[in-house]
Amino acid sequence: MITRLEINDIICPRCGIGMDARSGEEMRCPHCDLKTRVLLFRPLPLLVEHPTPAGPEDAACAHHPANRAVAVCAGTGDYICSLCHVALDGKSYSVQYLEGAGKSILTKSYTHYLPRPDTEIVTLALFTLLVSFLGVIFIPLMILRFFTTRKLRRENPLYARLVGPGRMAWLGIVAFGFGAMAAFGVLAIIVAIVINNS
Amino acid sequence: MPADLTINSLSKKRSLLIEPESLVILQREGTRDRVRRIRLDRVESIVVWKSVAWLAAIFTSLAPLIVAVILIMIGRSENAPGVSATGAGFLALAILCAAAVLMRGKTHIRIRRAGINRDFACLLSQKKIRVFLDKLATAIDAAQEAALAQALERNEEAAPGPLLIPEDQSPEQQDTP
Repeated sequence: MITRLEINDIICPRCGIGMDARSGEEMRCPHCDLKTRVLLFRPLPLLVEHPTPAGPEDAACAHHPANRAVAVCAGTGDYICSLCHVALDGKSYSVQYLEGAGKSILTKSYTHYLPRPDTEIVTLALFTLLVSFLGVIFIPLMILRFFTTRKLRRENPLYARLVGPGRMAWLGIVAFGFGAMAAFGVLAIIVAIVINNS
Repeated sequence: MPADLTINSLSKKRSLLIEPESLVILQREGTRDRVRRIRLDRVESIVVWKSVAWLAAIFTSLAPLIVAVILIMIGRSENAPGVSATGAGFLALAILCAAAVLMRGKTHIRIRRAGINRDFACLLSQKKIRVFLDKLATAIDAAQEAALAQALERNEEAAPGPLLIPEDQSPEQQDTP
């Protein structure tokens, strides 16, 4: 149990009234009587880089003419100062551009996805059960996804944490179990055809 | 341990993973997860509170309640006391389910970072949430201490030596005419 001895203003989540919070303790809002537990931390204050004033020979920022430009916006081509400058994926953009026309660049830059082939295996297994014999066509895909899962576990520590050895074993049993069943089924059909013909 | 906390709601499923520098939020989207990170070095506060989960209680008790009503109606129309008794059993089950959900309550977690609130609501046991919060608080403390040490180190590199005496009051300057 972590205890902290700090007093800070916390806004009540229900009524929005400020409360004197003591970290680690349970408290009640004086207005709506909502019981809350608050943990307070000591974050570093944000360090703002002060812009340099532009000299007569310097390029001035397009949005703050008194400030010296430090970069050129990749979206608009304007000179921008350190107040406007945002670095995204190795390129410089101005805040004004990212808030307007370049909003999609900002969204793309902060949107990351983690592929989940393990979920695909489960979905394919359920689908195979649902469509019975036709599901045989999905079994090679399931086995392929199993190997993709293994590869992703090796490459991505976050994924390795998410899909542990237990889940991996279970996925292997599902993928190869279905594979074995399909192989047995196909073999049985071939044997039946051969016996019938002979 | 796969995820530190898994939150299931009607619309989305989210997994929270605590890493040394950030809290990773994975939001399920079909066959991929959307990854969001909350850096721990500037987390200001965490507020936890509970509310009554009326909607969840209704949804949980809906299935046994429907079965109970149907069985009781059949029992009455067919004059079969056994069916009615089974219906009553299902009714009791529905009440039990609703009571369990209402007693557990919905826990809300609000993480405030750099003035922006991130809210999570879940219907999990208090023990699970307490373990998660303790782990998260420890990780935030460690991350903030590391960030402070790093900032001090950077400050030392930028301006080595004592910075306590302002330049205009230094002994060298006082000696010069």
